[in-house]
Amino acid sequence: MKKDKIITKFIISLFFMICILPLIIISLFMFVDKWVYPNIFPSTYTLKYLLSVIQSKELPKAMITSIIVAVMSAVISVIISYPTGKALAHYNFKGKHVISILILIPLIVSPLVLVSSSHINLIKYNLHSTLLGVSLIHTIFILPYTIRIFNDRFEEIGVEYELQGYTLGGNVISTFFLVTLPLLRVSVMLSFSLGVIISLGQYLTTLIIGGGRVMTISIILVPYIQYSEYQLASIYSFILIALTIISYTLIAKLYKNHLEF
Amino acid sequence: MGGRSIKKIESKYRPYILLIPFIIFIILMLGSTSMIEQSLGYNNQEGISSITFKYYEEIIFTKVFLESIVYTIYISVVPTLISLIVGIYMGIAVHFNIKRKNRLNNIIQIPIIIPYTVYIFCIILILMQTGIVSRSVMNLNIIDTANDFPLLIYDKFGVGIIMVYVLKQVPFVYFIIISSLSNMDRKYIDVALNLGSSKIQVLREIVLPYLRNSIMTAFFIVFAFNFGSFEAPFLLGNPKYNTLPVLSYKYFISSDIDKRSYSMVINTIMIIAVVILLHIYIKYNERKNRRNYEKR
Repeated sequence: MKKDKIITKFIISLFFMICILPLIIISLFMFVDKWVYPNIFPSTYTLKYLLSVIQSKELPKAMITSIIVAVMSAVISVIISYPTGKALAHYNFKGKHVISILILIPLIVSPLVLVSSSHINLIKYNLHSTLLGVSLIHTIFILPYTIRIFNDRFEEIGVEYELQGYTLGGNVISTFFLVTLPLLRVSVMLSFSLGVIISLGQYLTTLIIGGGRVMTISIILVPYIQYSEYQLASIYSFILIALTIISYTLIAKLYKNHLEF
Repeated sequence: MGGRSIKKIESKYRPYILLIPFIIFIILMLGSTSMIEQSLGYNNQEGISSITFKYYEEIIFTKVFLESIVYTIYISVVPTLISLIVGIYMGIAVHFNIKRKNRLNNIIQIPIIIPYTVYIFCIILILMQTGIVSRSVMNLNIIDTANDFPLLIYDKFGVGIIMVYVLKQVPFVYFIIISSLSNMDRKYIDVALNLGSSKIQVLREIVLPYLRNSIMTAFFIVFAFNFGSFEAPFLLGNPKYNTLPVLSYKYFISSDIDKRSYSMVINTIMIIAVVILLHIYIKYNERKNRRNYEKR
């Protein structure tokens, strides 16, 4: 019995190690200078690559582009998923089944298919290779998650609070700002951070819709991987991880407050 | 059945008003028949208004396409099964052995939020011929030169791709299992143990049947994702063996306009495959729910 427990604990800690492995490898590789083949550890370390990236004009541009795109797509997703989540949670209507399948579509259909079908639409609206176009395409992949968040929260709070607001003489606008929105503050922030995380990870969609003009961090990172510039690739990966982890800690904090609330 | 029942408002038009932004967005973004049009060779700009199945015929029976289908299924089924087995095992092991899961769960969430491109890069660093694994093996005197180390990325079995999927998706399956188990009533297990059943029996007769629904959902989502995923096969795959999305992408960016129709044919076929899969999944759920209802 004891032995069983120890083996299980060992496997769990191994799993734990594997989960943080990429972080360790990438932070090590940023500083590698010379690493002759059979050595387990690099022989010399350098700050050369890090400094060259920090001094380049590429980095601030890419970071600003990434953040703008991420924030825009997160905001658009929140705006769209708020009413959609409410409709699904509080109402019975014809076609509900179809809508809920439609929401799942981006999770199961290949991103390439979705991108190539919206490609031509975005060209028609003159949004191809613009920040807004890229944000819109990212929104498609964020919506399934954010609608789910709002749907769950609306089911949780029910319709009674709002009805109470109307009973006490509020109109649609004042009820929205004084009753519903404060109750959903956490969900809004949660969806926002999730949107930022998903948007930062998009590569193919940004490549096709961005047309090489919208240079997010992922877009710069992938060629470095392809052409074996390992140090530069790990620096950009590190920045990408740092941005996602900042958004993620925001989620974790909010989620904790949410549970207490 | 925990949770209180939710009161629904009966209103004819309000839900539709609330759905307007979503519907407009979907129509603006995805509402176009151009994919099917292009796959049928219909092109208004160039004055071709006749429909032809030429492109379907030309691509479906080629060796490249048939090999690509087999390879795609291989690349999507194998990591899905591995992730499911490991994820279910980890979920059950952690749930019944670890008391304070919060901190552990925070760490296990990391792979889910790290983008695929970063994971692909890590796998390259670990598995390439002069990578970390190769160095370790060399120091253990198992191989003599870097060339003796087997090709694990850009290889024809897609070991690197499978590794990326497994590392990213085990935590995903793990969380589905954990959240399902945390809603489970421990009474069933206690009763079974009290009546003298072994741990394996509890696992087989109570825990796994309880988890069946979540397992099916996890399988469906992970498989569909792997089937359509692009980055990992594109960056880690052997150029000779393409998955369907990579093949479609290669035709899509080709300068030959005819080739773009091939890409659209492949896309249409992928959509059909996913719709069939979705249909099977929904039918399976319906049948199971009905059976549960009859049992009661």
